[in-house]
Amino acid sequence: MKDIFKKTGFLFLFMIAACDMNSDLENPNLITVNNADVNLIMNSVQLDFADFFASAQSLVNPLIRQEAMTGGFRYQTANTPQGADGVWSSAYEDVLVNADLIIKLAEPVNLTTHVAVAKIFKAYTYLTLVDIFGDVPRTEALAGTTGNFNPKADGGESTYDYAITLLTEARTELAKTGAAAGAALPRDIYYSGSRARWTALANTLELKAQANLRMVSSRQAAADARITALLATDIIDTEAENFTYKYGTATNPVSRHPLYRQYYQPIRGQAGGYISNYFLYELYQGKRDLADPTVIVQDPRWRYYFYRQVGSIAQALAVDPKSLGCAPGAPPQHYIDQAVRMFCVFDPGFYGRDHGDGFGIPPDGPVITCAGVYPAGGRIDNTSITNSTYFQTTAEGDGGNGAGIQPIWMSFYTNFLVAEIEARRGNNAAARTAMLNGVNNSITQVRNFATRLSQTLSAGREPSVTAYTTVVGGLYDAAANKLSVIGKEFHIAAWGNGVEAYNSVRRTGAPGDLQPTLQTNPGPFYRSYVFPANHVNLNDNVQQKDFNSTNRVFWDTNTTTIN
Amino acid sequence: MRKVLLLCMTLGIASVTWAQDRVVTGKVTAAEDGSALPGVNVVLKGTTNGTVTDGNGDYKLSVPNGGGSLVFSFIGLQTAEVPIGERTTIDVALSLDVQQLSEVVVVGQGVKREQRALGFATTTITAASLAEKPETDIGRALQGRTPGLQVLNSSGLAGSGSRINIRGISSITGATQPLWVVDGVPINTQSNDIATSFVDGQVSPTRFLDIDPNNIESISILRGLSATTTYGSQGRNGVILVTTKTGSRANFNKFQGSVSQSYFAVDAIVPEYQNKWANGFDGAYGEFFSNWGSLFDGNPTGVRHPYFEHRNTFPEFPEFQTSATTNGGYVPVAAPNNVKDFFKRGSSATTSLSLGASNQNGSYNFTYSHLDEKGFIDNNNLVRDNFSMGGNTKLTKKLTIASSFNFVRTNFETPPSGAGLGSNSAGGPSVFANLFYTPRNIDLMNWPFEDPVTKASVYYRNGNDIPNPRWLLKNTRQTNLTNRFFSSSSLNYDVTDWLQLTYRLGYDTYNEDQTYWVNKGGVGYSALLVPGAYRSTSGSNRVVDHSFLASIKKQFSENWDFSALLGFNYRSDEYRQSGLESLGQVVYGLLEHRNFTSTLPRDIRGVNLNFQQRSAIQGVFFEGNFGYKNMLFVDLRGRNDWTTTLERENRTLFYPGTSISFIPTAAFPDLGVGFLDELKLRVAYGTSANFGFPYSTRPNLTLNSQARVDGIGNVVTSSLASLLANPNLRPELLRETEFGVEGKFLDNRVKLDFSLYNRSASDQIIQRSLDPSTGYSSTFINAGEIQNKGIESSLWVTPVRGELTVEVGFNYTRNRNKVVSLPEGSKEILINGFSNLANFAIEGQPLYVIKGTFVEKSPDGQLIVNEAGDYKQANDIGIIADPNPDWLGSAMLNISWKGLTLGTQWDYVHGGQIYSFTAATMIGRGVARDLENFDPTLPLVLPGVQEIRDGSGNVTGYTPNTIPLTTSGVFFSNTIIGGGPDDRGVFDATRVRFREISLGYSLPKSVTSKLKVNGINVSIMGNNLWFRAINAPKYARADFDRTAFGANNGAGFDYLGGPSARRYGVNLKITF
Repeated sequence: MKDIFKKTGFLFLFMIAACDMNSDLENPNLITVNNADVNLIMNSVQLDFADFFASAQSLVNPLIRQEAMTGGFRYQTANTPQGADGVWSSAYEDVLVNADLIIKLAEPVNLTTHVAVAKIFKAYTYLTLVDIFGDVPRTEALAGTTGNFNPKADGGESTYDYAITLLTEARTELAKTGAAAGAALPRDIYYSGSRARWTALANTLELKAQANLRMVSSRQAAADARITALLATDIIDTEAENFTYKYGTATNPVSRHPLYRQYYQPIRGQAGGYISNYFLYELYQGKRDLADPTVIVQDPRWRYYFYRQVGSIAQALAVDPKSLGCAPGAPPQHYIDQAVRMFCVFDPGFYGRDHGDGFGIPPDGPVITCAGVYPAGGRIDNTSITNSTYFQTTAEGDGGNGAGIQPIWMSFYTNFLVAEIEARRGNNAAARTAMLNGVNNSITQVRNFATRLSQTLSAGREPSVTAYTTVVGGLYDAAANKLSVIGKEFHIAAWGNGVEAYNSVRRTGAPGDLQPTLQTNPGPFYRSYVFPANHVNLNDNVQQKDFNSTNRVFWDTNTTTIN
Repeated sequence: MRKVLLLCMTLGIASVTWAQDRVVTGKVTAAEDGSALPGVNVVLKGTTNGTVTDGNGDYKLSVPNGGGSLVFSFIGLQTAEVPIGERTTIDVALSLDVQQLSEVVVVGQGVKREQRALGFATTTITAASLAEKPETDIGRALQGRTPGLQVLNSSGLAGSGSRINIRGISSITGATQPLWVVDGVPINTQSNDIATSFVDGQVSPTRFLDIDPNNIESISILRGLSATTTYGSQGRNGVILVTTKTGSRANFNKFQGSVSQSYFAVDAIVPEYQNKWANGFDGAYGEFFSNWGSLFDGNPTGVRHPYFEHRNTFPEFPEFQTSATTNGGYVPVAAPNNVKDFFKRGSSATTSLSLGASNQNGSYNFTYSHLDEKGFIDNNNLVRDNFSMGGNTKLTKKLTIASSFNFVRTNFETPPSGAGLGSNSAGGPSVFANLFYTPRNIDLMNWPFEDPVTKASVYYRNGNDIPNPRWLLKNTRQTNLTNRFFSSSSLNYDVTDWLQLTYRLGYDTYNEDQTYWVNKGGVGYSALLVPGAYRSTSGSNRVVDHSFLASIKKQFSENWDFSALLGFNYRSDEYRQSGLESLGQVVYGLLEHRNFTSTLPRDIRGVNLNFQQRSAIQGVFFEGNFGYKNMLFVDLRGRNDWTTTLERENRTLFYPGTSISFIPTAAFPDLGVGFLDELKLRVAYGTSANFGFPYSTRPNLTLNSQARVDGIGNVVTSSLASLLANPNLRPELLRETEFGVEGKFLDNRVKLDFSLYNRSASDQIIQRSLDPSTGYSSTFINAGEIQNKGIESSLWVTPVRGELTVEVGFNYTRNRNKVVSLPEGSKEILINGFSNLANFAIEGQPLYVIKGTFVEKSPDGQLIVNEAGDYKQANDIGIIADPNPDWLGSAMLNISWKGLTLGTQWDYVHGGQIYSFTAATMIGRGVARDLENFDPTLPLVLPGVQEIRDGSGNVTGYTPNTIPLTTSGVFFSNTIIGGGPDDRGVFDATRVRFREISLGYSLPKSVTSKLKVNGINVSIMGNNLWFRAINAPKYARADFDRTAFGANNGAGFDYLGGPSARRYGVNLKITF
């Protein structure tokens, strides 16, 4: 009896001893802050930066009619605050806060490349946030650890200045030499460890920022001076210097280019998404030779940008009579009134979607026009335009198998930027040269990219580059507003980079012939995007923008109306 | 009842003895059936000299010479006073006291007390109302049985989970589910669903599914905080105390056993359809998702057969060849049962055996039950085997040991039901997402659904953009196999006759093996899953609960009672899970990781399938109960906890409670004589704590060793966790005051129980979503206050009593919930949903209000229509619905006559709103019978007004809208089906439900004794036979008891999660 009681007591004591209350505070599933590895964080930021860019560019590119805006008939319904959530969290929660952590960890140990790259990522991210949204939190941002859960926004201009400071600091870091300080990033998807190229990027990004700042009259003179200085430094002006993120081909983990994943589904014939009819039309038959208006020159890039699954609309209807959601040849009255050239679909087999077509989606997966080899890593369109019965659907594995790139900054963007600046300065000849350099470089690099993915055209299918540049040159010479031509050419060259195209459209007002929305009364064009839902709904210091008015970012002084 | 009463006598009663002269012995029996009554108080009148009868009802007491009387008393029985005279043997038979009938209830930590002594509300539900019921989920069987409790469910699929809320919801983002305590020890009742997002699956099985309703002796529901204090912070959402038959220490006299067999049919409650109009849009036939097409008039449409594309695959269907050129095309014909026949009649059969025996030293019993449930669709099955054994025995005179052991194997499978948006599913495959709006001429059940060679889905849209529901039924699955062991063991040691020590060990462990798979060949859901996917996880959970209790019971004098409980408790919880997900099926049909091309340790949502979590809590608690003359009872209690989830300086909290119960009818015996039998007034103040989830106080970095394969190769990443650590997190304190009246009137024919409560939870531990510009997506903070005020009432009336007894009962629950304050500087907190359509906590609003996009209104409340004739959507999101009901009620009628019993229950929910895709889709797609007489070819004008603007664009007035739209313009573009404003999808959730009816017959003794058995009972029962959401589309049959979020926080969302079930059948029980 006593024995049993003793045992019970023993059990009780044992139980008290078991009450260790301190061992379970640390999360066993994650790494403690003390074990943080700056290289792994850098990997993370490199990847997250590409994702930020990808979501930012795809957010705005339906606005400027590269991809089609289909989520609604009006700007407001097609572009919801929720749609911008991903861009926002990707910017702050993935890129910026971890870039800060890299700087904090790398600075004391003199990992200058880490510091510089982190600062460049920060600068680009802030510039892009301002370009898209306008005023965004910066001085009070990333201060969750101090308990500031409602960071106030800073003026866009001050954030621009801050970003330029970051770029300057990055250049200083990259200029440091020595065994430790001069070390490259161990894993560098963008520049394979070249510090010189990161320097060129920093210079180029400042150039891009100054070009926008130049729009503000009070900043114009200073910006011009900086632009001149920057043009004399090493900037991104060769293909090798291109700032691109390079995708892989793995299915799991998901590694392919986002556009590829959309248009090249696991099952054949399931392609989703739409390219804007405007963009398809512009590249295929948008340019008439001024000298002989009966001559329509094809853009030499269309076979690289797009892939048609059918050789004709008749073929699409043969595949499925219900595959067409609209009626070709029966445009709405306001399209007729405004002489809008493209509507619904057009031959040979171009199947996109009109701007602001929010109707239901017909069974058109097997027939829509898909993203091609550049930059998505898909298929080249190697079908004769006379082959009207062509029918070949897309599937995962086709073409470049998704090993595409995010063209964050290509050397030909620099050409166009220079062209625009020169035109604004009144140097029309220099602008013309720069623009045509841009066109030529764009065509060359698109072709080179496709070749690297073994996507080449059969003999005779390659549209003539000379014919094209001649027509463009003619258009430039004839244009009263040179920016309208430069802007349009850039819009075409910037396929896959909605961020720069959106900036350019707002700066230049070109292309001036963007397809209007399918229904009337779309509401004002988003000259800046509405704030994300996760910003507006969770932060006390933010008011959503008024959907009924035009909300411009600070540098958008362009008076041209964009529809 | 009496068996329960006897139990409380395990606690000793004071017997102070002094000089005696002789010894009186005797036996106390029940007048009712002559059985021995242990634990009866035997006291020499006018003294404190007394004793208690033993297990055989025998007693022995020394009394002084010179007579006097012995008083025999026992709760629930009439007190007998017997003059001793010269006798040395006095046998007494005690009869039931209908006057007193103060019941004994389990109030926690193994303590059972008289109902009248309680200062707080409890409800006890006995086995009779739970066992052999059609509901296999014990949680659901509680609905309507007690005030103060609301049960929602994820669907009528076999094995799907439930959500239980007691006295409203006191936490914005923390756990809101009650603590389940089985035989004195807490068990884990979590949902560990591996469909981690509700968009992939809304089945959400909860682990109280493992409890066998047939093995339940009784359930007590402790609602108020003063009742749950000793259970610690885990009890803050209420405690459901389950006493199993095997865990019960009921002393039955001899061998006892029972077998029962039940069989129930399980039917889905599906919408009713119109069969007048065919697939199409705006009155024209076409292959759309919608059914706004042409009349079924027998005329050719000039288009091809919906399966024309598959004509060569299925030559046995010559009609598929029909094209625009053959006979003018396809003639649509209604397939009236295309959806109905997708469902089958399910069944639920339970076999249960119970055996037990006892002697003076203890008892032993064993229960086995087997449940085999087949749901209302194929591949939805639940098989459960419960083995329980338990017993108690006296090891020595003072030491008793009692144990109960339960082993459960629960095997459950279902096709997943991800969130449907009225057009495919929002996430993973969903068997119901595309089913309910099947156009009326699509002959789902008679046309092929899979390619005979590739096994891929075959359906009517050539784009192959919509999966055939039958293909999903066959080729997608979520399975859950749980092996569970839980036990309670306790040692009781009677130190003296007033002090008892108890050590109790609870051990609950289960292993839950889950899979989620999709064969290749489907379409219309997350593209990653389309090439085939297989996810397997194995989770193992362990709860160890040690309690050490000292209970004291002492009667100081005839007038004063005292009892107390001192306790120490240590509980640790541990969960470990390992799992893999593979994508890219190689050979159709084989579900093994080896048959897939890539495997990762996380799921498609990026959720790691491998993790572990540990937490522990220890507490000391006390409870002191003072009773004065059976008329005034005062309780004091408190508990202090230490937790491992918070940093050392914040990890402890003391939370006290008190309650007073006053019985005016005992204090003033003349009060309301002949009318009032007993009146009790009670008031209580209780507190509780919440210590939050583990691992929220220290910063961490994530690691992903296979984040992506980019142009260089595999990327290994590490980055700051998106959860911002808060080292200063403190415990949350909940307070509640409760006031109640209980009365029994007119010879116990009327019983009323009424409670008012006011609960506030302040310094809430909230997982606050953060603006990502803070650098993080969420953090745990202490802030805010939630208030729940409510009324709970139950009324039982027995107008007829005797051979024919008629009982009518009503329960009424009203809870008013308000977010009193939120963290400094935050407007609102998103609880669950999407970032622009979700449940929110907003200051001054009820918890869970739904915000979403909405139509702007004119000052006089009319909907504004824009220039295009569509509703004008406002700039921001706003409150569009409040899912909290105004009140809940249930009505019960029980009639017994001779061996016949009839019981019914009706439930009613008044108010509340729901964002329902079921209701919206049935109407928006034009399939519900409500639309039979609607002509889709006619233009429509949205009800509302247009703005009149002056030259500068200012609104100067409003004029009725006159802009005509097509059917699709109204029913598609301006409803949530076609992306219209969210408030177009909100419905009033008022609903009435015929919850249950049962008719039972017990064969008379004359028959059973011939058969040599104690009793035979046959009953027929029906459950959830009918319901109607009064203000929602009638034929859509949307059941608003469902919640898309399963057991997770949030309410008021219905994403086509599956219909609810109607169950009816028969049960036979033989006791011997």
